Amino acid sequence: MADPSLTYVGAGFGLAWLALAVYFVRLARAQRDINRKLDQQSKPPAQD
Amino acid sequence: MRSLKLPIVAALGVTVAIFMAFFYAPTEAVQGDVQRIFYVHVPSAWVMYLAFFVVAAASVLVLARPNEWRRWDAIAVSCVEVGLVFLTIVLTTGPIWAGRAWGVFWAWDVRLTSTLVLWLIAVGYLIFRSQSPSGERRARLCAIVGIVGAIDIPIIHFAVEWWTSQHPGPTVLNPSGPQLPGAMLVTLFVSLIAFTLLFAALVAMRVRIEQARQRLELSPPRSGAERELLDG
Repeated sequence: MADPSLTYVGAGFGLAWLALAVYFVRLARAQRDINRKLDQQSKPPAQD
Repeated sequence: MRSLKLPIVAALGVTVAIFMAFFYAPTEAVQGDVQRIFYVHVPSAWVMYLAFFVVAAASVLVLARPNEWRRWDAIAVSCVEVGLVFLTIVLTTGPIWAGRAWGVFWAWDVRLTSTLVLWLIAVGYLIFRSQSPSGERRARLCAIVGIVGAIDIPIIHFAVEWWTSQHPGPTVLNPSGPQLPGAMLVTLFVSLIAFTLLFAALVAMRVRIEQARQRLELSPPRSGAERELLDG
């Protein structure tokens, strides 16, 4: 039978990397959105 | 592509650190495998110290150099946010480790409680920031909160020396030298370097986002549609 300690280690490492991965994805999305907004703003206004 | 260099190096460093934590570092004689949480918990705590040290320095500069407040405010908020992620990891991995090693997940001793207080200060900083109109006044108020938060860092660090604590004392920065076998010490140093690189990569990304937001705020939108985009 596996050492029950490994369950705790798995939970510790798993939650830590999950938190970092979620934050990284959140940052990447925020960067994409803000770049899109900057692109929109730098476009010349539409001519009527 | 240049902006991806640091995240890639950090990811490689973290991969090496995880590998070493499981396959290079020996199993601790008394605690067994659960001690391997040490290689995430301690580097996260180091990054938390580093983050709030930078928050304090940047916050002082927000107050001391009114002409450059935007630059230092972007760095301060980025470090609070990234520091909060690592602080959350410290407050998650610590109780998991304690649950196995001490038999209880939490003890209201000074180190644990002061770490929780810093977490609450960081959350409060970000909530206050999100609810206040942007500008120099918000930056100055946030700087004060950031400095107050950073004052908690020495309390957290020295709590185990100043008061009786359930938390163990320093094993590396011990007055009589590191209290760890060589392989554990090497693994810890690799993890510390990897986590520091990860911190730098995340802060660099977050600062770029904040600076882009500042640029958007400085150039007001021309139409209602653009205003909607900014608010969204």
